[in-house]
Amino acid sequence: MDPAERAQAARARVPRIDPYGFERPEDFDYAAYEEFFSTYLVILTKRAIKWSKLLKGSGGVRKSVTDLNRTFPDNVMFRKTADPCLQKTLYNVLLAYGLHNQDVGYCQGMNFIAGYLILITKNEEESFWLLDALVGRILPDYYSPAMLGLKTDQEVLAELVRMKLPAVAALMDGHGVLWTLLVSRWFICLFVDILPVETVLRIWDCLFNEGSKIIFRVALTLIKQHQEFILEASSVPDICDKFKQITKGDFVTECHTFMQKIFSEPGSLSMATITRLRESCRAALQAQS
Amino acid sequence: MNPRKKVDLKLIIVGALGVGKTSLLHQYVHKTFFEEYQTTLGASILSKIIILDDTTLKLQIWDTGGQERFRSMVSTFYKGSDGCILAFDVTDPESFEALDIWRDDVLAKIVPMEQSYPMVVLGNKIDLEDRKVPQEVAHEWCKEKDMPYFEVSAKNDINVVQAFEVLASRALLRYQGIAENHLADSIKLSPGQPRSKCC
Repeated sequence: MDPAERAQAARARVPRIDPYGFERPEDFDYAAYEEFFSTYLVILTKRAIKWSKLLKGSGGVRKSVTDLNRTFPDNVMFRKTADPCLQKTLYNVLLAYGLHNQDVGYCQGMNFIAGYLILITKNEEESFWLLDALVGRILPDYYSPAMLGLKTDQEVLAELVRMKLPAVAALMDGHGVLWTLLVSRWFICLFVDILPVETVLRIWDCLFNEGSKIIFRVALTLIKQHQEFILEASSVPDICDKFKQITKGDFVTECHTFMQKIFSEPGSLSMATITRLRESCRAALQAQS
Repeated sequence: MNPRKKVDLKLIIVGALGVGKTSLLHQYVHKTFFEEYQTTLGASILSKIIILDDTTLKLQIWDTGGQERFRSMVSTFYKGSDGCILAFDVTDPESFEALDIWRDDVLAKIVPMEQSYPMVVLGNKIDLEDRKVPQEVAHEWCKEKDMPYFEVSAKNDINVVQAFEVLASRALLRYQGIAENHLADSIKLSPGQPRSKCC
Protein backbone atom coordinates (compact mmCIF):
# COMPACT_ATOMS: atom_id res chain seq x y z
CA MET A 1 0.00 0.00 0.00
CA ASP A 2 1.42 3.40 -0.90
CA PRO A 3 1.26 6.28 1.57
CA ALA A 4 -1.77 7.87 -0.10
CA GLU A 5 -3.75 4.65 0.12
CA ARG A 6 -2.70 4.17 3.74
CA ALA A 7 -3.86 7.66 4.62
CA GLN A 8 -7.13 6.99 2.87
CA ALA A 9 -7.66 3.74 4.75
CA ALA A 10 -6.83 5.35 8.10
CA ARG A 11 -9.19 8.21 7.34
CA ALA A 12 -11.98 5.68 6.85
CA ARG A 13 -11.32 4.04 10.23
CA VAL A 14 -10.60 7.01 12.54
CA PRO A 15 -13.66 9.08 13.54
CA ARG A 16 -13.84 12.68 12.28
CA ILE A 17 -14.56 13.92 15.80
CA ASP A 18 -12.07 13.10 18.56
CA PRO A 19 -13.09 11.61 21.95
CA TYR A 20 -13.08 15.12 23.45
CA GLY A 21 -15.59 16.49 20.92
CA PHE A 22 -13.19 18.41 18.69
CA GLU A 23 -13.50 18.08 14.93
CA ARG A 24 -10.24 17.00 13.43
CA PRO A 25 -8.61 19.63 11.19
CA GLU A 26 -8.49 19.21 7.41
CA ASP A 27 -4.78 18.43 7.39
CA PHE A 28 -5.01 15.88 10.27
CA ASP A 29 -2.51 13.05 9.78
CA TYR A 30 -4.80 10.04 10.15
CA ALA A 31 -2.11 7.50 9.31
CA ALA A 32 0.32 8.78 11.96
CA TYR A 33 -2.46 9.03 14.52
CA GLU A 34 -3.64 5.51 13.84
CA GLU A 35 -0.11 4.21 14.19
CA PHE A 36 0.33 5.98 17.54
CA PHE A 37 -3.01 4.79 18.79
CA SER A 38 -2.53 1.18 17.79
CA THR A 39 0.63 1.05 19.89
CA TYR A 40 -1.19 2.54 22.85
CA LEU A 41 -4.15 0.23 22.31
CA VAL A 42 -1.86 -2.77 22.84
CA ILE A 43 -0.90 -1.38 26.26
CA LEU A 44 -4.51 -0.67 27.20
CA THR A 45 -5.55 -4.14 26.10
CA LYS A 46 -2.71 -5.77 28.03
CA ARG A 47 -3.78 -3.88 31.13
CA ALA A 48 -7.43 -4.81 30.69
CA ILE A 49 -6.53 -8.50 30.29
CA LYS A 50 -4.26 -8.40 33.32
CA TRP A 51 -6.98 -6.74 35.35
CA SER A 52 -9.70 -9.22 34.41
CA LYS A 53 -7.35 -12.14 35.18
CA LEU A 54 -6.52 -10.68 38.58
CA LEU A 55 -10.18 -10.32 39.44
CA LYS A 56 -10.73 -14.02 38.76
CA GLY A 57 -7.73 -15.07 40.87
CA SER A 58 -7.88 -15.92 44.53
CA GLY A 59 -5.74 -17.56 47.18
CA GLY A 60 -4.25 -16.58 50.51
CA VAL A 61 -4.52 -12.90 49.78
CA ARG A 62 -8.30 -13.11 49.92
CA LYS A 63 -8.19 -13.80 53.64
CA SER A 64 -5.63 -11.14 54.43
CA VAL A 65 -7.63 -8.25 52.98
CA THR A 66 -9.22 -7.38 56.28
CA ASP A 67 -9.95 -3.73 56.72
CA LEU A 68 -12.89 -3.12 54.41
CA ASN A 69 -15.35 -2.04 57.07
CA ARG A 70 -12.60 -0.16 58.86
CA THR A 71 -11.73 2.11 55.96
CA PHE A 72 -13.39 5.52 56.13
CA PRO A 73 -16.37 4.59 58.36
CA ASP A 74 -17.05 8.34 58.26
CA ASN A 75 -17.51 8.37 54.47
CA VAL A 76 -21.08 7.87 53.24
CA MET A 77 -19.91 6.10 50.07
CA PHE A 78 -18.01 3.49 52.09
CA ARG A 79 -20.93 2.60 54.37
CA LYS A 80 -22.44 -0.87 54.13
CA THR A 81 -25.79 0.75 53.42
CA ALA A 82 -24.46 2.86 50.50
CA ASP A 83 -25.52 1.95 46.99
CA PRO A 84 -23.21 1.34 45.29
CA CYS A 85 -21.04 0.54 48.30
CA LEU A 86 -17.39 1.31 47.65
CA GLN A 87 -16.27 -1.41 50.10
CA LYS A 88 -16.71 -3.94 47.30
CA THR A 89 -14.70 -1.81 44.87
CA LEU A 90 -12.01 -1.41 47.51
CA TYR A 91 -11.93 -5.15 48.05
CA ASN A 92 -11.44 -5.81 44.34
CA VAL A 93 -8.60 -3.32 44.04
CA LEU A 94 -6.77 -4.58 47.14
CA LEU A 95 -7.27 -8.23 46.27
CA ALA A 96 -6.07 -7.69 42.72
CA TYR A 97 -3.05 -5.78 43.97
CA GLY A 98 -2.17 -8.51 46.46
CA LEU A 99 -2.21 -11.06 43.63
CA HIS A 100 -0.30 -8.80 41.26
CA ASN A 101 2.48 -7.94 43.73
CA GLN A 102 2.78 -11.07 45.84
CA ASP A 103 5.96 -9.97 47.62
CA VAL A 104 3.94 -7.20 49.21
CA GLY A 105 0.48 -8.78 49.34
CA TYR A 106 -1.93 -6.73 51.38
CA CYS A 107 -0.51 -4.28 53.87
CA GLN A 108 -2.63 -2.10 56.12
CA GLY A 109 -2.43 1.50 55.00
CA MET A 110 -2.89 0.50 51.37
CA ASN A 111 -6.62 0.42 52.12
CA PHE A 112 -6.63 4.16 52.79
CA ILE A 113 -4.57 4.93 49.69
CA ALA A 114 -6.68 2.74 47.42
CA GLY A 115 -9.78 4.26 49.04
CA TYR A 116 -8.74 7.76 47.99
CA LEU A 117 -7.82 6.61 44.49
CA ILE A 118 -11.29 5.07 44.16
CA LEU A 119 -13.01 8.22 45.42
CA ILE A 120 -11.12 10.31 42.87
CA THR A 121 -11.09 8.07 39.77
CA LYS A 122 -14.42 6.31 40.47
CA ASN A 123 -12.86 3.43 38.58
CA GLU A 124 -11.49 0.11 39.88
CA GLU A 125 -9.00 -0.56 37.15
CA GLU A 126 -7.52 2.95 37.13
CA SER A 127 -7.26 2.88 40.90
CA PHE A 128 -5.38 -0.40 40.66
CA TRP A 129 -2.79 0.96 38.23
CA LEU A 130 -2.32 4.14 40.22
CA LEU A 131 -1.82 2.05 43.36
CA ASP A 132 0.75 0.04 41.47
CA ALA A 133 2.53 3.22 40.41
CA LEU A 134 2.76 4.33 44.05
CA VAL A 135 3.54 1.06 45.78
CA GLY A 136 5.52 -0.58 43.01
CA ARG A 137 7.51 2.37 41.68
CA ILE A 138 7.27 5.73 43.46
CA LEU A 139 7.57 4.72 47.11
CA PRO A 140 10.48 2.69 48.47
CA ASP A 141 9.55 -0.64 50.09
CA TYR A 142 7.16 0.80 52.68
CA TYR A 143 4.65 -2.04 52.54
CA SER A 144 6.74 -5.18 52.12
CA PRO A 145 6.67 -7.59 55.10
CA ALA A 146 9.89 -6.21 56.64
CA MET A 147 8.73 -2.60 56.02
CA LEU A 148 12.37 -1.65 55.72
CA GLY A 149 11.71 1.30 53.42
CA LEU A 150 9.28 2.75 55.92
CA LYS A 151 11.62 2.28 58.87
CA THR A 152 14.42 3.78 56.80
CA ASP A 153 12.45 6.88 55.83
CA GLN A 154 11.39 7.50 59.43
CA GLU A 155 15.09 7.50 60.36
CA VAL A 156 15.87 9.74 57.39
CA LEU A 157 13.29 12.23 58.64
CA ALA A 158 14.87 12.06 62.09
CA GLU A 159 18.25 12.89 60.55
CA LEU A 160 16.80 15.74 58.50
CA VAL A 161 15.20 17.20 61.63
CA ARG A 162 18.53 16.84 63.43
CA MET A 163 20.20 18.83 60.63
CA LYS A 164 17.54 21.47 60.06
CA LEU A 165 15.64 21.76 63.35
CA PRO A 166 18.07 20.67 66.08
CA ALA A 167 15.92 21.97 68.95
CA VAL A 168 13.07 19.62 68.00
CA ALA A 169 15.51 16.72 67.65
CA ALA A 170 16.85 17.51 71.13
CA LEU A 171 13.30 17.47 72.55
CA MET A 172 12.66 14.01 71.06
CA ASP A 173 15.96 12.68 72.36
CA GLY A 174 15.31 14.18 75.80
CA HIS A 175 12.03 12.33 76.13
CA GLY A 176 13.24 9.19 74.37
CA VAL A 177 10.48 9.46 71.80
CA LEU A 178 10.77 7.29 68.73
CA TRP A 179 9.83 9.05 65.51
CA THR A 180 7.76 6.07 64.47
CA LEU A 181 5.28 6.92 67.21
CA LEU A 182 4.66 10.35 65.70
CA VAL A 183 5.03 9.96 61.97
CA SER A 184 4.51 6.34 60.90
CA ARG A 185 1.00 7.14 59.68
CA TRP A 186 2.26 10.14 57.69
CA PHE A 187 4.37 7.77 55.64
CA ILE A 188 2.11 4.69 55.52
CA CYS A 189 -1.08 6.56 54.64
CA LEU A 190 0.59 9.35 52.66
CA PHE A 191 -1.21 11.91 54.84
CA VAL A 192 -4.68 10.44 54.24
CA ASP A 193 -6.77 11.09 57.33
CA ILE A 194 -3.97 13.25 58.69
CA LEU A 195 -4.34 16.39 56.55
CA PRO A 196 -7.46 17.84 54.87
CA VAL A 197 -8.55 16.03 51.71
CA GLU A 198 -7.73 18.85 49.28
CA THR A 199 -4.28 19.24 50.78
CA VAL A 200 -3.64 15.51 50.53
CA LEU A 201 -4.61 15.53 46.87
CA ARG A 202 -2.31 18.45 46.14
CA ILE A 203 0.51 16.60 47.87
CA TRP A 204 -0.23 13.47 45.84
CA ASP A 205 -0.02 15.44 42.59
CA CYS A 206 3.53 16.32 43.54
CA LEU A 207 4.20 12.80 44.78
CA PHE A 208 3.22 11.27 41.44
CA ASN A 209 5.19 13.92 39.64
CA GLU A 210 8.32 14.31 41.72
CA GLY A 211 8.59 11.17 43.80
CA SER A 212 8.77 10.22 47.44
CA LYS A 213 11.01 13.16 48.46
CA ILE A 214 7.83 15.23 48.72
CA ILE A 215 6.85 13.37 51.89
CA PHE A 216 9.93 14.76 53.66
CA ARG A 217 9.16 18.27 52.42
CA VAL A 218 5.65 18.09 53.87
CA ALA A 219 6.82 16.60 57.17
CA LEU A 220 9.62 19.15 57.61
CA THR A 221 7.31 22.04 56.75
CA LEU A 222 4.75 20.94 59.35
CA ILE A 223 7.40 20.61 62.03
CA LYS A 224 9.27 23.81 61.16
CA GLN A 225 6.14 25.94 61.01
CA HIS A 226 5.13 24.80 64.50
CA GLN A 227 8.55 24.49 66.03
CA GLU A 228 7.89 26.85 68.96
CA PHE A 229 4.59 25.14 69.69
CA ILE A 230 6.17 21.67 69.67
CA LEU A 231 8.96 22.85 71.97
CA GLU A 232 6.37 23.72 74.64
CA ALA A 233 5.70 20.00 75.15
CA SER A 234 6.83 18.61 78.49
CA SER A 235 5.93 14.91 78.27
CA VAL A 236 5.56 12.10 75.77
CA PRO A 237 1.73 12.32 75.52
CA ASP A 238 2.19 16.08 75.18
CA ILE A 239 4.50 15.64 72.20
CA CYS A 240 2.05 13.19 70.59
CA ASP A 241 -0.75 15.64 71.11
CA LYS A 242 1.22 18.52 69.57
CA PHE A 243 2.05 16.40 66.54
CA LYS A 244 -1.66 15.74 66.10
CA GLN A 245 -2.53 19.41 66.40
CA ILE A 246 0.00 20.62 63.86
CA THR A 247 -1.85 18.67 61.16
CA LYS A 248 -4.98 20.75 61.70
CA GLY A 249 -5.99 24.37 61.22
CA ASP A 250 -5.62 27.17 58.69
CA PHE A 251 -2.02 26.45 57.82
CA VAL A 252 -2.85 23.05 56.29
CA THR A 253 -6.33 23.97 55.06
CA GLU A 254 -4.98 26.76 52.83
CA CYS A 255 -3.61 24.14 50.49
CA HIS A 256 -2.31 26.54 47.84
CA THR A 257 -0.13 28.48 50.26
CA PHE A 258 0.81 25.25 51.97
CA MET A 259 2.10 23.76 48.73
CA GLN A 260 4.23 26.84 48.12
CA LYS A 261 5.61 26.61 51.64
CA ILE A 262 6.70 23.01 51.28
CA PHE A 263 9.08 24.10 48.54
CA SER A 264 10.48 27.08 50.43
CA GLU A 265 10.34 26.35 54.17
CA PRO A 266 12.49 23.23 54.50
CA GLY A 267 15.24 24.85 52.39
CA SER A 268 17.40 22.87 50.02
CA LEU A 269 16.74 19.15 50.00
CA SER A 270 18.71 17.51 47.26
CA MET A 271 17.99 14.02 46.05
CA ALA A 272 21.66 13.29 46.65
CA THR A 273 21.20 14.05 50.37
CA ILE A 274 18.10 11.87 50.58
CA THR A 275 19.81 9.00 48.77
CA ARG A 276 22.87 9.23 51.00
CA LEU A 277 20.75 9.32 54.18
CA ARG A 278 18.59 6.45 52.96
CA GLU A 279 21.68 4.35 52.35
CA SER A 280 23.22 5.01 55.75
CA CYS A 281 19.95 4.64 57.69
CA ARG A 282 19.08 1.41 55.90
CA ALA A 283 22.52 -0.02 56.62
CA ALA A 284 22.19 0.92 60.31
CA LEU A 285 18.76 -0.72 60.53
CA GLN A 286 19.99 -3.87 58.85
CA ALA A 287 22.94 -4.04 61.23
CA GLN A 288 20.55 -3.82 64.19
CA SER A 289 18.36 -6.73 63.18
CA MET B 1 -10.19 13.05 100.93
CA ASN B 2 -7.35 14.85 99.33
CA PRO B 3 -5.10 12.40 97.54
CA ARG B 4 -1.50 13.42 97.86
CA LYS B 5 0.57 10.83 96.08
CA LYS B 6 0.79 11.12 92.32
CA VAL B 7 1.96 8.28 90.12
CA ASP B 8 2.33 8.03 86.34
CA LEU B 9 1.66 4.58 84.90
CA LYS B 10 2.13 3.38 81.35
CA LEU B 11 -0.31 0.68 80.26
CA ILE B 12 -0.55 -1.04 76.90
CA ILE B 13 -3.32 -2.92 75.13
CA VAL B 14 -2.51 -5.67 72.64
CA GLY B 15 -4.36 -8.41 70.76
CA ALA B 16 -5.32 -9.65 67.31
CA LEU B 17 -6.78 -7.49 64.53
CA GLY B 18 -10.30 -6.25 65.07
CA VAL B 19 -10.87 -7.55 68.61
CA GLY B 20 -11.90 -4.06 69.71
CA LYS B 21 -8.81 -2.59 71.38
CA THR B 22 -9.57 0.96 70.31
CA SER B 23 -13.27 0.55 71.22
CA LEU B 24 -12.38 -0.67 74.71
CA LEU B 25 -10.03 2.25 75.26
CA HIS B 26 -12.54 4.81 74.05
CA GLN B 27 -15.24 3.30 76.20
CA TYR B 28 -12.96 3.49 79.23
CA VAL B 29 -11.47 6.94 78.60
CA HIS B 30 -14.27 8.81 76.82
CA LYS B 31 -17.38 6.77 77.70
CA THR B 32 -18.27 6.52 74.03
CA PHE B 33 -18.73 3.68 71.56
CA PHE B 34 -18.79 3.74 67.79
CA GLU B 35 -19.95 0.76 65.76
CA GLU B 36 -17.14 1.20 63.24
CA TYR B 37 -13.59 2.28 63.91
CA GLN B 38 -10.82 3.10 61.54
CA THR B 39 -7.93 0.63 61.56
CA THR B 40 -5.30 1.62 64.13
CA LEU B 41 -1.89 1.83 62.52
CA GLY B 42 1.17 2.05 64.73
CA ALA B 43 0.36 3.41 68.17
CA SER B 44 -1.53 6.21 69.83
CA ILE B 45 -1.75 7.33 73.43
CA LEU B 46 -4.81 8.13 75.53
CA SER B 47 -4.61 9.57 79.04
CA LYS B 48 -6.92 9.25 82.01
CA ILE B 49 -6.56 10.37 85.59
CA ILE B 50 -8.09 8.18 88.28
CA ILE B 51 -7.93 8.10 92.06
CA LEU B 52 -7.13 4.79 93.69
CA ASP B 53 -7.05 4.70 97.50
CA ASP B 54 -4.94 7.72 98.42
CA THR B 55 -3.09 7.96 95.12
CA THR B 56 -3.78 9.97 92.01
CA LEU B 57 -2.92 7.82 89.01
CA LYS B 58 -2.17 9.36 85.68
CA LEU B 59 -2.71 6.53 83.25
CA GLN B 60 -1.01 6.74 79.91
CA ILE B 61 -2.62 4.02 77.83
CA TRP B 62 -0.98 2.97 74.59
CA ASP B 63 -3.26 1.68 71.88
CA THR B 64 -1.38 -0.49 69.42
CA GLY B 65 -2.53 -1.85 66.14
CA GLY B 66 -1.57 -3.17 62.80
CA GLN B 67 -1.11 -6.54 61.26
CA GLU B 68 1.86 -8.88 61.76
CA ARG B 69 4.30 -6.81 59.74
CA PHE B 70 3.80 -3.78 61.99
CA ARG B 71 4.68 -5.82 65.07
CA SER B 72 8.41 -5.09 65.07
CA MET B 73 7.72 -1.36 65.09
CA VAL B 74 4.89 -1.44 67.61
CA SER B 75 6.60 -3.77 70.06
CA THR B 76 9.30 -1.18 70.77
CA PHE B 77 6.58 0.67 72.68
CA TYR B 78 6.09 -2.18 75.17
CA LYS B 79 9.33 -1.20 76.86
CA GLY B 80 8.87 0.59 80.15
CA SER B 81 5.20 -0.28 80.46
CA ASP B 82 3.77 -1.00 83.92
CA GLY B 83 0.98 -3.33 82.81
CA CYS B 84 -0.78 -4.84 79.85
CA ILE B 85 -4.26 -5.68 78.66
CA LEU B 86 -4.49 -8.77 76.47
CA ALA B 87 -7.68 -8.53 74.44
CA PHE B 88 -9.49 -11.09 72.33
CA ASP B 89 -12.90 -11.40 70.69
CA VAL B 90 -15.16 -14.13 72.14
CA THR B 91 -16.66 -14.67 68.67
CA ASP B 92 -13.24 -15.24 67.09
CA PRO B 93 -11.39 -18.37 68.35
CA GLU B 94 -8.22 -17.44 66.45
CA SER B 95 -7.95 -14.22 68.42
CA PHE B 96 -8.10 -16.29 71.63
CA GLU B 97 -5.51 -18.79 70.41
CA ALA B 98 -3.20 -15.91 69.52
CA LEU B 99 -3.06 -14.72 73.15
CA ASP B 100 -0.10 -17.00 73.93
CA ILE B 101 1.96 -15.32 71.25
CA TRP B 102 0.93 -11.83 72.31
CA ARG B 103 1.74 -12.60 75.94
CA ASP B 104 5.18 -14.01 75.13
CA ASP B 105 5.89 -11.09 72.83
CA VAL B 106 5.11 -8.55 75.54
CA LEU B 107 7.04 -10.43 78.23
CA ALA B 108 10.06 -10.66 75.94
CA LYS B 109 10.09 -6.91 75.29
CA ILE B 110 9.56 -5.43 78.73
CA VAL B 111 12.79 -4.76 80.57
CA PRO B 112 13.53 -6.41 82.89
CA MET B 113 11.70 -9.56 81.92
CA GLU B 114 9.62 -10.68 84.87
CA GLN B 115 6.76 -13.06 85.50
CA SER B 116 5.05 -10.74 88.00
CA TYR B 117 4.45 -8.13 85.30
CA PRO B 118 0.73 -7.26 85.64
CA MET B 119 -1.53 -8.48 82.86
CA VAL B 120 -5.28 -8.85 82.59
CA VAL B 121 -7.22 -10.65 79.88
CA LEU B 122 -10.36 -9.20 78.32
CA GLY B 123 -12.79 -11.29 76.28
CA ASN B 124 -14.63 -8.60 74.33
CA LYS B 125 -17.90 -8.53 72.35
CA ILE B 126 -20.00 -10.60 74.79
CA ASP B 127 -22.97 -8.58 73.50
CA LEU B 128 -22.85 -10.53 70.21
CA GLU B 129 -24.96 -13.63 69.58
CA ASP B 130 -22.45 -15.92 67.91
CA ARG B 131 -20.03 -16.46 70.76
CA LYS B 132 -17.44 -19.17 69.99
CA VAL B 133 -14.93 -19.14 72.86
CA PRO B 134 -16.62 -20.68 75.95
CA GLN B 135 -16.23 -18.72 79.14
CA GLU B 136 -14.80 -21.76 80.99
CA VAL B 137 -12.08 -22.27 78.40
CA ALA B 138 -10.95 -18.67 78.66
CA HIS B 139 -11.15 -18.81 82.46
CA GLU B 140 -9.08 -21.98 82.62
CA TRP B 141 -6.35 -20.54 80.40
CA CYS B 142 -6.12 -17.36 82.49
CA LYS B 143 -6.09 -19.31 85.76
CA GLU B 144 -3.18 -21.38 84.48
CA LYS B 145 -1.25 -18.21 83.72
CA ASP B 146 -2.40 -16.51 86.91
CA MET B 147 -4.04 -13.57 85.15
CA PRO B 148 -7.45 -12.07 86.02
CA TYR B 149 -10.05 -12.63 83.31
CA PHE B 150 -12.91 -10.29 82.44
CA GLU B 151 -15.80 -10.85 80.09
CA VAL B 152 -16.50 -7.43 78.66
CA SER B 153 -18.48 -5.49 76.11
CA ALA B 154 -17.10 -2.19 74.87
CA LYS B 155 -20.43 -1.61 73.17
CA ASN B 156 -22.63 -2.00 76.26
CA ASP B 157 -19.99 -0.84 78.72
CA ILE B 158 -19.95 -4.10 80.68
CA ASN B 159 -16.99 -4.69 83.02
CA VAL B 160 -14.71 -2.31 81.14
CA VAL B 161 -13.99 0.04 84.04
CA GLN B 162 -13.51 -2.89 86.44
CA ALA B 163 -10.96 -4.52 84.15
CA PHE B 164 -8.90 -1.38 83.67
CA GLU B 165 -8.97 -0.59 87.39
CA VAL B 166 -7.82 -4.04 88.42
CA LEU B 167 -4.90 -3.67 86.03
CA ALA B 168 -4.18 -0.16 87.31
CA SER B 169 -4.15 -1.28 90.94
CA ARG B 170 -1.85 -4.22 90.17
CA ALA B 171 0.43 -1.97 88.19
CA LEU B 172 0.49 0.45 91.13
CA LEU B 173 1.42 -2.33 93.56
CA ARG B 174 4.26 -3.40 91.32
CA TYR B 175 5.38 0.19 90.94
CA GLN B 176 5.41 0.69 94.71
CA GLY B 177 7.28 -2.58 95.14
CA ILE B 178 9.95 -1.41 92.74
CA ALA B 179 10.15 1.98 94.46
CA GLU B 180 10.63 0.26 97.85
CA ASN B 181 13.32 -2.00 96.47
CA HIS B 182 15.15 1.01 95.12
CA LEU B 183 14.92 2.68 98.49
CA ALA B 184 16.15 -0.47 100.25
CA ASP B 185 18.99 -0.78 97.78
CA SER B 186 20.14 2.76 98.20
CA ILE B 187 20.03 2.48 102.00
CA LYS B 188 21.95 -0.75 101.85
CA LEU B 189 24.50 0.52 99.41
CA SER B 190 25.22 4.10 100.27
CA PRO B 191 27.04 4.20 103.64
CA GLY B 192 30.44 2.72 104.00
CA GLN B 193 30.59 1.17 100.58
CA PRO B 194 33.31 2.37 98.27
CA ARG B 195 31.76 4.19 95.38
CA SER B 196 32.64 2.86 92.02
CA LYS B 197 35.13 5.24 90.61
CA CYS B 198 34.14 7.27 87.66
CA CYS B 199 35.92 10.11 85.92
